[in-house]
Amino acid sequence: MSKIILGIESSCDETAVAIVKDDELLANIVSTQIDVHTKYGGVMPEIASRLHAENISIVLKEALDKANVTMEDVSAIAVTRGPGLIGALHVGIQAAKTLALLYDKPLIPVHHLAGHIYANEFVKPLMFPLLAIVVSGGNTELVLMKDHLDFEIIGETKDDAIGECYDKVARVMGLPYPGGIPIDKLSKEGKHTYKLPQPLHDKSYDFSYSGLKTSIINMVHNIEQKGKKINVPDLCCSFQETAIGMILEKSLRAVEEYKVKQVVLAGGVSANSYLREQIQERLKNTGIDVVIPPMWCCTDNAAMIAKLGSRLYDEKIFAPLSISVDPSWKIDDFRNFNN
Amino acid sequence: MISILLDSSDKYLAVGIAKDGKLVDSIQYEAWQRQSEMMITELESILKKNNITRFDISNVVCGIGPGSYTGVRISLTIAKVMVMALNIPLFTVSSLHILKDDKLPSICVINARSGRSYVGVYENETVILKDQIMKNDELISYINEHSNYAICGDVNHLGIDGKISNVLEQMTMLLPHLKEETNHLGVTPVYMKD
Repeated sequence: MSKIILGIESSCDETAVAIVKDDELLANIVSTQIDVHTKYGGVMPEIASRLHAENISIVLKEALDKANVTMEDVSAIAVTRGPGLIGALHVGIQAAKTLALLYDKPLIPVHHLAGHIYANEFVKPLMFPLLAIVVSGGNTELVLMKDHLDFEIIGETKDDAIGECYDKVARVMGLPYPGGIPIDKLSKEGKHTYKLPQPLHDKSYDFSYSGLKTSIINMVHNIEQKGKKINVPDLCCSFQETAIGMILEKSLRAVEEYKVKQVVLAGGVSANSYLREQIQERLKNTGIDVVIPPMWCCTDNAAMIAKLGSRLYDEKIFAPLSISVDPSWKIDDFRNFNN
Repeated sequence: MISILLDSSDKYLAVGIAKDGKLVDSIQYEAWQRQSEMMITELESILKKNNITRFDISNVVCGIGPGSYTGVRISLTIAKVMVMALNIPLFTVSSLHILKDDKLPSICVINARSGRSYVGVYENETVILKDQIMKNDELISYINEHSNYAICGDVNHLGIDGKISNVLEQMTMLLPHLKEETNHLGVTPVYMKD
């Protein structure tokens, strides 16, 4: 009998359902809220929760129809339990628990960032030891994996996530939300001319983006107060090379120290063209494999939740119906889903 | 004809089963901010106890708010997913209406915080004052002008005691008067605040 996993994701601003049969992706439906949040210049948690509640059963039905499977055919239900926005996570988890109860199916709680890492399995098998560069609007961390489902955080941000920093820097330059896309695009037209502080330039694998953000905001305000204009493409370029530069520098050091065989990118900021180019460029001819997720895997989706859910199903990592969400669930604690 | 009844729009969690228009089993208790964990496990236990499987369920009836945003979303998400999966009708009802007294005209109240309350006034299936958000001092004046009305719901925030209703009994009683949701997949809670 084939293994069919239904995955549900609602941790931030995408309501998503996917169905994976063995290794084949049968349906991958994403209802994005991005246009709504763009109006506010960022994700508004209450609005996100409302849209998830509005759309969840529509997206579920669309996925089942597209995959042409019934709930009876499904082997288990995998759902994002965290990290993410609490009210948003609640919608996905209630939907998953309802289906698990009605159809008496196992319920698999999935860690959102582990899902992003395993999205790379849609490209090729993971090889260990592996370094995952997890970069998104809510997270910035380096995760070392010595084997499947073995996550060790070797470094993480002490304050803002890199994606959050992109959004705030974009806003001060008058660029739209989400900031990653316009900054990435404009930086190609600019030169690295602005001198910016190197965030947490030390021997650790940790990151810090709040100082960089503040110094750019102050710099822009100072220049504007003098009646001058900033060169937006140049500042985009300087910011991008500084912000991503620190990720590259620390990642490359970790690659050497832990003698990893493979490097994978995960999370929204892995769509960044400079990060994608540079990581491949700097590891060229080293024998270290670099996996770049396809663009559709960089944004939130449920295919990655179903994909990882499928592996967790084999390990029989099932949760009772009494589980709830955990907005700050740590990746190295993914087997623990006590409330 | 088995109906599953759900409401978690205020401090309470309520799960019930109605059979041919009569409430046959119910669970209702205070579960403030624990509904996310408890709602499904209570539904599981009541279904098991009554030997009901998904094949037996004819429709779902759910409180649609106003009330706690997260609370309303929990029961409405469960209801919406049930009716999608089982392809059965969804009936919704004001979460204020089901707070009413059996007989008396009732001022039904849920704390909306920040000095305000969600208020609806009902006599059986008839609406006397439609659901709205009111400043607490206006509500107190309204209550004083209608001393013959029952005050229903948790009104401790007004410094008075209200009647705590069995919302599942009221829901069952109102069942024949409820309209089926035509947009049962896309239905949204009544929030009353942006």
